[in-house]
Amino acid sequence: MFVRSPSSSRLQATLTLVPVAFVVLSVYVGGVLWAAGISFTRSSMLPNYRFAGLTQYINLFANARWQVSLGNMVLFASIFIPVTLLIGYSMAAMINRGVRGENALRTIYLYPFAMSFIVTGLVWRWLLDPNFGIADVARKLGFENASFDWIVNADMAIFTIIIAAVWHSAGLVMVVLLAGLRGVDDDLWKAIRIEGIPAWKAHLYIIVPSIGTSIATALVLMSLTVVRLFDVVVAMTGGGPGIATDVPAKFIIDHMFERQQVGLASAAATTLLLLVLAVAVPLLILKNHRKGGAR
Amino acid sequence: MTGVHLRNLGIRYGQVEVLKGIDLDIPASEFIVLLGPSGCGKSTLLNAIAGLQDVAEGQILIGGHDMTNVEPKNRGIAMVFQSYALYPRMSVRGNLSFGLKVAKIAKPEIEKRVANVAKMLQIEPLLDRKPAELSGGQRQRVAIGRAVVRDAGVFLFDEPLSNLDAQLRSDLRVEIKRLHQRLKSTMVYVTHDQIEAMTLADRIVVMKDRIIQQQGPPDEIYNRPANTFVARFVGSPAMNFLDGAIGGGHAIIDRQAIPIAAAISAPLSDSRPVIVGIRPEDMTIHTDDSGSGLAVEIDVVEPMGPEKLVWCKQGDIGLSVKAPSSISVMPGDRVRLRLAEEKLHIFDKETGKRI
Repeated sequence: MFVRSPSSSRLQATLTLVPVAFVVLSVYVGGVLWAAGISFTRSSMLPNYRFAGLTQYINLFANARWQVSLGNMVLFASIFIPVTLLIGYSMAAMINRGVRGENALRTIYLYPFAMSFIVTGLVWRWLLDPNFGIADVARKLGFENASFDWIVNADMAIFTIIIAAVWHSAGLVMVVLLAGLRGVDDDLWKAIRIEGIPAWKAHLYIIVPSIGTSIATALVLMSLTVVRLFDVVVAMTGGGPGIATDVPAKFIIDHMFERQQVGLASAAATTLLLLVLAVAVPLLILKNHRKGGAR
Repeated sequence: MTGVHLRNLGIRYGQVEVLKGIDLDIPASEFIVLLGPSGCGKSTLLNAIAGLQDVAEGQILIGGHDMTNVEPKNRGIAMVFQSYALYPRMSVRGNLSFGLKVAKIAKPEIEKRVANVAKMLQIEPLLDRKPAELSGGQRQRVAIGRAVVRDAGVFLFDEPLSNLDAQLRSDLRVEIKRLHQRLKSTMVYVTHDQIEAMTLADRIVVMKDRIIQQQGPPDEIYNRPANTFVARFVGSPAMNFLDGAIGGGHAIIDRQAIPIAAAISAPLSDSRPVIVGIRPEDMTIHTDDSGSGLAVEIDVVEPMGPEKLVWCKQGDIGLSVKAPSSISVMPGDRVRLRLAEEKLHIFDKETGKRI
C-alpha cells in the first residue's frame, strides 16, 4: 500500500490553495493597495500616477457630502448595532426557552434576511410612503390625522433606513446568538433557578458573558452591514432628501463611476478601510482571545 | 434540621410516564443516595425535589412544608451539578457571593460566609481566579462551596463526581462525606456509581425502570439484594448468577448438589427453579481433586495486587472469583469452586425476586 507521507499531503494542500491565494493576493490585496495608491494621485476620470500628496484627503474631509455621509454612518451604527443586538438577543432568548412553534418562529424571524437589501429598501419605501403606505391605511381606518413623513423629512429619513436595516438583520443576529445560547450548559440554567437570580441579571451577568464568541460574531456581521450600507439607501431614499441619507459607500460609488473623481473616491475608500480595521481588528482579537482562553 | 418527604410522586413528559407512585421519606440529616443506571429516573426525581421539574401528581414536603409548587429558590435547598455550572466570567468569589447578593443578604454577612466556606473547602487561594483557570477538581470544590454558602437545609447532588478522574473522585468523595459529618444537613445524592453509593450513603435507594427497586443501608443492599437487578448492579465485579433448582436443601447446579445454609433454604420448596447468586469474594478455588464443588475451567487471571481476580467458565457461563494473590492457577486449569453456603442468594427464576 502507498502510504502518504505528511510532507506530500502538505504539498497537496499547498497546491490546492494556490489558486485561491493568487486571487486573494492579486484581486483583493492588490486592489486595495492600488486604490490606496491612487488616493495619493491627481486621478480624476481615469487613473493617473501624478503624485498629489494628501490633497485628495484634504478635499475629502472638506467635502460637505462626505461629512454628512460619515456622520450618517456613525449615527446608523450607534443605533443599528445595539438595537439589532437587543432585539436579536431577545428573540433568541425567547426561542431558547422552548416556545411553541419554534421552527415556524425561527423561519419568520430569519425571513427578512433572505431578502436582498434592495427588496427590503423598496418594501419599506412603500410601507413608509406618506401618501400610499401605512399612514394611508391608518387614515382609511379612521385615524384622520395620521401622518408619518419621516422618509421625506431630511432630519428623520436616516431613521427610516435604520428601521429597515434592523428589520432585515435582527433575524440573522438571532440565529447566531441562538446557536450560542444552545451551547450554554443546561446545568447553568438550573443553578440560576436554584439561586433565584432574576432573568435580566442572569442574562446580563452570566449568560451573555458566556456566549461572548457568538456576540463577537454578531458584532462583526453587523459592522460589515454598517460599512457596506449602500443598496438599502439607494432603494429607499436614493441618498435623499438631498444628501440627508448619504452614506460613505454611496459617496464612493457615485464619485468613482458618475462624478469621475477616482482619486477622491479612492481616498474615501481608503479612509473607510482604515475605519473598518479600527473596529474589526480589536473585535477579532477579542474573539480569538476568548476562544483560546476559555475552557 | 430539614427532612424531605415524597408522597405518591408522579412525573410525566407529555403522555410518557417518567416516574410513578414514588414514596420516599428522607429524615433530617440523612445522607441518601439515589442509585441506578442512566434513564432510571433518578435525576428526574432529584430535579423534582429541587423544583426544576414539574410534578404531575403527588406531594413534596421539605422541612414539613408542602413545596410541590414552590419556586426552587424558596425551597431551602442547594444543588451541585455534574458539569459544575459555575458562572463562567465571574471569579470564584463572585460565584460564591452572587446568589447571596441577589438575595439581598448584608455585605458583611456575605463576606463572612464566603470566608468560612473558602476555608472549609480549602479554596482560599483560588478566590480571585476565574473558573477557566481552575482544574476540574477545583471547579467542583467551588461548586460545592457555592451550595454550602447558601446555608440550606437540604443539599442535592446530581452526579457531582462523574466528570472527574478516578483519583480526584475518591478525594472529593471523602470531602463530601466530611462535609456531611460537619454540616449535618440532609443530603440527596444521585449517582450511577455503586462505589460512591456504598461509601457515602446512610441509605441507598436503588432505582430502575422508573420505580424504586430497594431502599436500605448499604450493607443491607449489598448483603440482601431484593432482586437480581440490585444484586448485579451493586458490587464490583458483579454478583455471579447460576441457573439451578432446589433439591433436598441443596441447590442443584449442572447436576451437582451445592449445599445451602439452613437459614436460607428453609422457605424453599423442592424442585423449584431458581437463580443462585454468589459474590466473587464468597467462593474459593480448590485445585485438589476431592470432588466437591462446582467444576470449572480457568479462563483469565487478573492480578490486582492484594488479590487476584480469576475468571472461570462453567459451560458458557462466566464466573468471577476473588482469590488470594498467592494462588497459582493458569488459564485452562480445571478446578473446583466451593461456594460459601451461608452467602448464597436465591432468587425466583421467573420474577428475579429474592426468596
